[in-house]
Parts: sequence; structure tokens; C-alpha cells
Amino acid sequence: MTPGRRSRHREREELREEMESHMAHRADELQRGGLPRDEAEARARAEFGDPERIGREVERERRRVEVGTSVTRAFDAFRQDLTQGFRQIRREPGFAAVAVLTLGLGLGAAITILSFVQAVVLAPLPFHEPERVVELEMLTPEGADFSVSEPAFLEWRARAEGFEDVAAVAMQGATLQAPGLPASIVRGYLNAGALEMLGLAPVEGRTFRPEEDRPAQAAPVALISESLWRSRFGGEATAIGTRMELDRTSFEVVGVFPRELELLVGDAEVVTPLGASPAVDRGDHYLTVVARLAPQFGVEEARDELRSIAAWQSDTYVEDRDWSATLTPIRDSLIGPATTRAGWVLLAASGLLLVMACVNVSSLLLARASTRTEEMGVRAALGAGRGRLARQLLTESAILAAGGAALGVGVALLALPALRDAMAGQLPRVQDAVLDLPILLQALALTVAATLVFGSAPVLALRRARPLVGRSRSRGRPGTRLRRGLVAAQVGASLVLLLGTGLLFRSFVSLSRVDPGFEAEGAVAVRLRMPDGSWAWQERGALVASIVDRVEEIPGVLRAGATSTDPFSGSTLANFVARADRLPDRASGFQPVYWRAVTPGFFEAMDMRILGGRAFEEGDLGGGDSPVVIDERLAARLWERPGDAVGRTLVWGDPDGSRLTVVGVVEPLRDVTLAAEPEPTIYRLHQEIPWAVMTLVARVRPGATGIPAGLREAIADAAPGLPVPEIQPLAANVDRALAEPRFNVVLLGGFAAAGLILALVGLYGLTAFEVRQRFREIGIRLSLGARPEEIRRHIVRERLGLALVGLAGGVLASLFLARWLSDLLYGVAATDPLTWLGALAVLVLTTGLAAWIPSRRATRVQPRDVLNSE
Amino acid sequence: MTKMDLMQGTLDLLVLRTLTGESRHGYQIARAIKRLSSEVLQVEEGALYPALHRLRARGWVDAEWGTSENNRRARFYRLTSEGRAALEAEREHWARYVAAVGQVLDAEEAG
Repeated sequence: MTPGRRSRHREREELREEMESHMAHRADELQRGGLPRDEAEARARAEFGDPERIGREVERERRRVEVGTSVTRAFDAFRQDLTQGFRQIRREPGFAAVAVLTLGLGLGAAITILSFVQAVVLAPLPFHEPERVVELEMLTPEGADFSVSEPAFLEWRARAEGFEDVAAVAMQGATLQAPGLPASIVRGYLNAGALEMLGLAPVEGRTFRPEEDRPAQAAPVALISESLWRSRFGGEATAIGTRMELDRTSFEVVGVFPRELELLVGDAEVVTPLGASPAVDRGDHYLTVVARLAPQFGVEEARDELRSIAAWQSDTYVEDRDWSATLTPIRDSLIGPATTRAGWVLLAASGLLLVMACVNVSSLLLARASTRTEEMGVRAALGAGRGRLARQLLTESAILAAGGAALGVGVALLALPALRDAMAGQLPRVQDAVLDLPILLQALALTVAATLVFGSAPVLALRRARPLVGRSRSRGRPGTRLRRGLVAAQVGASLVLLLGTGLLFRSFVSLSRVDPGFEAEGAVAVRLRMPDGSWAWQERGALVASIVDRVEEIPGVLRAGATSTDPFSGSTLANFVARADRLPDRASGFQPVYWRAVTPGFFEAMDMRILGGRAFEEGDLGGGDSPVVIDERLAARLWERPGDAVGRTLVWGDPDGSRLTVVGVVEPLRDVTLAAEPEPTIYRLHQEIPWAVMTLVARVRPGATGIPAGLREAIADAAPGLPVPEIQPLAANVDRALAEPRFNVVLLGGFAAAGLILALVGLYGLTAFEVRQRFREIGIRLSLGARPEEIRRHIVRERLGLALVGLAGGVLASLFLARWLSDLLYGVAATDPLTWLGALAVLVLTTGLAAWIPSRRATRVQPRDVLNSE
Repeated sequence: MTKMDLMQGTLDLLVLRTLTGESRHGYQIARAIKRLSSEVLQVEEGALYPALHRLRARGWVDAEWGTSENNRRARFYRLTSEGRAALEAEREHWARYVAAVGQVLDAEEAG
């Protein structure tokens, strides 16, 4: 074969000699041609070239050949390991499935949490030197954080030396009338120089100029969001310079602001200059103020200076009396120390889960490794080096880990969108939680680390695989006790999770059976937004009335009405009332109530029962006291018999408030939350209190078609320029009320399933391992006359004992945690016996099963085999 | 005719060809290539010895020390049966290559 086996030195010597011979032959020929010998030799040498260089060429050639073969050889060995690994896995598909599932759960959780925490907590804020950016807030006399007034902002900017620049943001609902269909949007206000201070540049166009940001008369220029730029302006540069109509005012689009600004302006689609003025009421607090620290200032110095300016403001202006101010690094105010801590806790928890998964898989592998001791012994005897065997075992582990990683990425792909949806609006930057390259690289690192952690156990066990005599003797090594403890802990933890899921599920079921007091089926709902900027207070009552009239003309619509409380949006309006004939002398004696502004058709459109009196009628307004409808709960609070309320008089707000006449009593409406008992409620006519944001409800004849188009047309007819958002079935509102409990069930259920699987795998692996360890003992017992059934029962009983220890811990933890859970429960007690018994039964049965399956192997032990193998 | 250096890759083929008859040592191989090509092809010693090493590593030639016609010690190379098979395959490959290149060069330019 190759001469590489021979010593390299000898090889070089031979080459040198060969080349000398070459030159000698050439010299011989030249000599025959007539040259003297010495001249011929010199010429031959000159012709030949440098023997050293040729030697190096040959050496290089030799190395090229050898590297080629060693790479191929390593590759061949790897392929062989791989083939063997796959063969081994095919031989025990159940084992492989359990291992991959376990690792997939652990890695999936870790990857999901990692990308989530990375996006929300760990990623730096997208500003220039974000650690120098702070948020400035006012402090109320009670010491609570509060928004800032325009004069205060201007004084801080003018007086403070601790800031390089100060910027202010405000937000408000608005109507975008053109281009395109009218839409309700959020409008942001920003002072000139704010983007520059943050180190952000416009995506297109420019930012505001200082002269456009003049007090009280800001120029009609606007920056638009990237999403608005794409949806309304096609993402073209020609958008810059075009005009748009916002709140009935024409604006010139001068730029597109970058996505990063969302951290300050939230959902705002259009941003216009703030035009802060010292003349604005100091009592109006609505600004969010951020600043960049001046180079030589630290957070503490800047805060001291701000405090002293606030002290001057407190002394100078009566509105600011006893107020103060403070500042926090922008990171803390946007993300918050609580979120940061929660992020780290989540990371630690998912890391723990991954370690658990690794421990379980390693005990599975150990159980298997002990059954393979003989195979390894034979292979060692046949000359396979220990390194080779170790490599093969690690390759098998790596195959399992690769499967687990693939499954884990799949889990993360499913879990991340769900998590983003659930957290949207609650945490900044959740939308950035995606599976990108850095996260996948970290996942790869995790997988490699996991492989080394769980894959090293069988390799260490290999030390006992001596040629031909392959048997392990020792039992009860310290590792076993630790593993038992971990398995018991897993059983306990899965009891807690299972119990929580059971309770939340039963709570969800009883919640979805609650009668909300109205009929959601067969009705549609539309939100009508009429912001101050676009419609005056006086216009709105007539506007809504005409919309309702026009909607009722749509074929298929039976009745329509509007309410100021969008069902299950969670927002409510509150006030106080009292009986006119028992008027308390102080406001504190008044009855707190929720109130709604509605149109006359509302009760019928919602299909609510009238318990006494009547609903509103057209023409109720006009003479004397205002008519009101109250619900049964308010009637019951104020009168002995609810029916007595009709025709009586109430007082609105305070002893001098307006007088109201009760015309009817209706069934209570559960439309704030399904879980809580409805609060006493009073209904007033929208024409008297023309609320700006209303929900129109239309009851539709079953089977009617074309309703959404009809609604759009009717609204556009009656109120040109009013945005018409989504038209949804009223049932969608009810569904929204169930969304959070449903999410809780699914989330905790996911954890419970994962926990249960982990616990079962752990118990299974441990039992299989220990049974294998005790083959000898079992064999001896069998040969002494024990029946296989007895041995099996003994093993299962022992495992159940271990599980019971875990369950006891789980019960204690659950009793402690149940109190905390009871806030989330509806219609089921935290100590619900059915749920507790169910969860305990599930765990006892499944842990029994997880012990019973591997115990079968013990009963197949033949006493003779055990003794023969001695 | 000017002398031409050998194209890379063809040297192995020519070395194998010079060994089809008797075994030869390095100097003889270089001479044979020069002679058989009517003195057109010039073998660099700096390329010849790495090539010989390569052919030996592939198992296409064997080497053995012996005594030359000038009564000097020299390493003689001999074609193995694998080397003979490789030569046949390379020869055919070369013929097709030459034919293809010739066809392109002789073709009438279209258009």
C-alpha cells in the first residue's frame, strides 16, 4: 500500500539518493557527449534544479494524500457510527420516541422562553446610547408617578442643565378621513428634535423643523407610521409631500417614522408636532417626557436638579403645590424591573425543565446501557477501542438530541405566535420574539450541551464494560438516590400543574354556561368612534340617532340600539345616585352605580327582559325630569320591592344633581366580566349624554343576508366621514370574555402535560434502570422459589411508594398555591374534591403504569441465565 | 518546434505510458517522454518526483531499487495491474478530450 508506514526519515533519504542518481545519469550522458566529468556533473546539477525544493514538493504531495485519506477515514467511521446509531434506534423505536419527545419538550420550552426573554428583556433598546436616556415624571403630593403638563415640560427643558435635550409625547384618538376610507386611529404628538434626541432617523422624508413646533399653532405637517405608509400610500417615496385629512384638518406628510418609535408612541399611526405652550392649564397632565442626560451628568445628579426645579414650580404655581418630580432610566420605565426579574425567572425555570429532561433521558440511556453491557463487552473483546465505543454511544445520543431539537423548534414555532398574541399590548417588544438565526444558534448550543449532559452517563458507565466479563455489581450508588429524589419531585410538580389545570378547566366550563342577561346569538355589533376633533359634543346625539334610524331600515334588521359600554371590553363608567325622597346630606351617602348612555332601541336589540315599567320611548325627552331605566340590582338596593321603583325620582351625582324619573326596570346585564356579579346599573339616554365612542347593536332576522354591507352603507349614508371598523357578531364579544380563561387553561394545560410526561419518563427510566441493576438479586429470589408476580408487585409497590412521597409534597404545595389560584376561579372551589381526586387518580394510575411496564422485564429473568452468567 | 511544458494532469498519464514495457528509473522516464514526443515535451524534475510519489500512493506503480545500465544504484518503477487499468481509462478519457477540443477548434463559426 502507501509507503506512509515506513519511517519518514528513511523516505527522505531514499528520495535524496534517487535524485542524486538522476543527476549522475544525466552527467554520464553529458560525459559521453564529450564533456569532462566535473563539468558534466556541474551542468547536470544546474539543469536539475534545487533538490531541496523538490523534496519539499514531494513532502507536500505526501501530506495531501495522507490528509485526504484521514478525512475520508474519519468520515467513514462517522458514517458507520451514524448507521449503527440509526439501526440501534430502529431496534427500539419506543425508547427513541420517548427520548425524543422528552428532549423536544425541554428544548422547545427553552427555545421559546429564550427568544421571548431575548426580545423583551435582553435586547438593548434601539436608541443611541440607551443607558443615557431617562423618563421624567411628576410626582403627586401622595408620591405617585404622574404625567407631565405642558408648562412643566417647557420649564424643565429651559432650566435643566443635566439634560442634553428633553422631548415630550402625547397620544389621543383621532379619525383619519383621507386618503382611503375613514378610520379610527391613534394620533401621536411629538416635539421637534425628539427623534434626533433618541438617535432615530426617519425611514423616508424628514422630521419636524423647530419652526413647525410652535406653541399653540403647530404647523399642519405629519409623520406617518410604516404600516400606514404601506397600507395607504403603497410604501412609495412619493407619499412624502402628499396631503391627508385628519380630524377634518388637512396635513402634509413630511416623513415616515421608524418602527422603534413605537416604544414611545405605541399604536400611533400619525404623529404631528406637539406645539407645547406655557399658556396651557398646568392642571392638565398628559405628556410623557423623556430626556438624554448631558455628558457630565449621572442619573442621581440629574434627578437632584430636576427635583429642585420641581420644588421651585411647587412654590411658584398653585396647581403644582406639593408636587415633585423624578426620573428613571428609560429601560426601567419601558421594561421594568419586575418584567426583567420575571424574564430571568422564566429562563431559570426553562433551564431547570431542560435539565430535568436531560436527567430523564440519561436515566433511560443508563437503563439501556446496562442491558447493553454485554454487547459493549463483546465489541471491546473484538478489538473496538474504548474511544470508539464512547464515540458510538455519543453519536446515538446526538441522533436523539437532533430529533429532540427538531421537535423543540417545532414546539417553539407553535408556542411563540400564541405567546405573542397573548402578551400583545401587555409588554413592549413582544412582537420581536421570533425564531431568528441567533436564537437558532443558541438552540444548537443548548442541544450540544444537552447531548453532552445526558449522553455522558452511558459513556461513564462504559468504564465498567470490560472485555468478555460484562457485568455491573454495585447498586445504590449516590447518583441513584439523587435521581429518585428528582423523580419524586417531578411527580409532585405534575400534581400541582394537573390540579391547577383541572380547576381552571372546570372554572372555564361553568363560566361559559353563565347567562349574560342578553341574547348574543343573532345580533351584530359595530363600534362607532366620534372623537372630539371631528364631531362636536352637540352633534353626536343626533348623529347616533340618525344612524340607528337608518340601520333599522335595512331589510333583515329587526331592531337597533347603541350603548356606551362595549360588551366585555372591560371598561365601565361610574357615578352615584340616591333616592330623591331619602336624599342623604352628604355625597358619601350616595349609591355607587355603573351607568350607560343608550338609545331607546337598545334593550330590545339586546333581547333583555323588562321587569317593570317600560323601555325608553321616542319623545321621552322634552318635559321635566330626565327619564332613566335602572336594572333590578339598583332597584333592589334602593327599594324594598323592585317594582316600586317605577315612576320614582332619583338624584344624579350629588345632592344638587339633576333629577331623574325611573320609567322602567330591566334584567341585570353581565357584560363587564362574566365572572363577577353585575353592579347596580342605570341607563340614560344618549341624546342627554352624547358619549363619543358607542357600540351599535343590531338584532337580525335569522337567515338574513347582506347585513354587513347594508350596515356599512347605512352608516356612510347617515354619517359621512365616520370610520366603519369591523362588523362582528355580538357573540364575538362574549368569546372575548372567555379568551383569557381559555388561554389560562391551554397554557397551564400545556405545562401540566409536559410535566406529566417528564415525570412518567423519569419514573419509567429509573425503574428500568434499577430492575436491570437487580437482575442478580431477582434471579436468586426466583431460584429460591419466589413467584414472578410477587416480584413484579413488589417493584410496582416500591415505585408507588416513591410516587406517593412526591404526591404528598405536591398536595402540600397545591394547598398553599390553591389560595392564590382561587382568584382566577369561577363556580368551583379551589378545594373541589372531584378535581383533587381526579388529579390524584390520574397520577397514581399513570405512575403505576410507568413502573409496571419496565417491571415486566424482571419477571422474564431466568434464574439459570443469571447464575450461568456468573 | 518550441519545447512545451506539460499540462498539469497529463504528466501522470505520460509517466504511466513510459512504463508499459520494462521498468524504468526517474531519469529514464524523463528521457523517454522527451524522446517519444520528438523532443517537444519537457519534464520538470520538480514535477516528476511528486508525480511518481502520487502514483505510488495510489498503488498504480511499484518501486524497487536496482542497478542501472550505467552500473549505478537507481529506483526502478513498474506498472501495477491497477496502474495498467488506470492508464487504459485515462487514455480513453484523453482521446475523447482531444477529439472534443479539436471539434470545437475546427468547427465552422456559425453566423
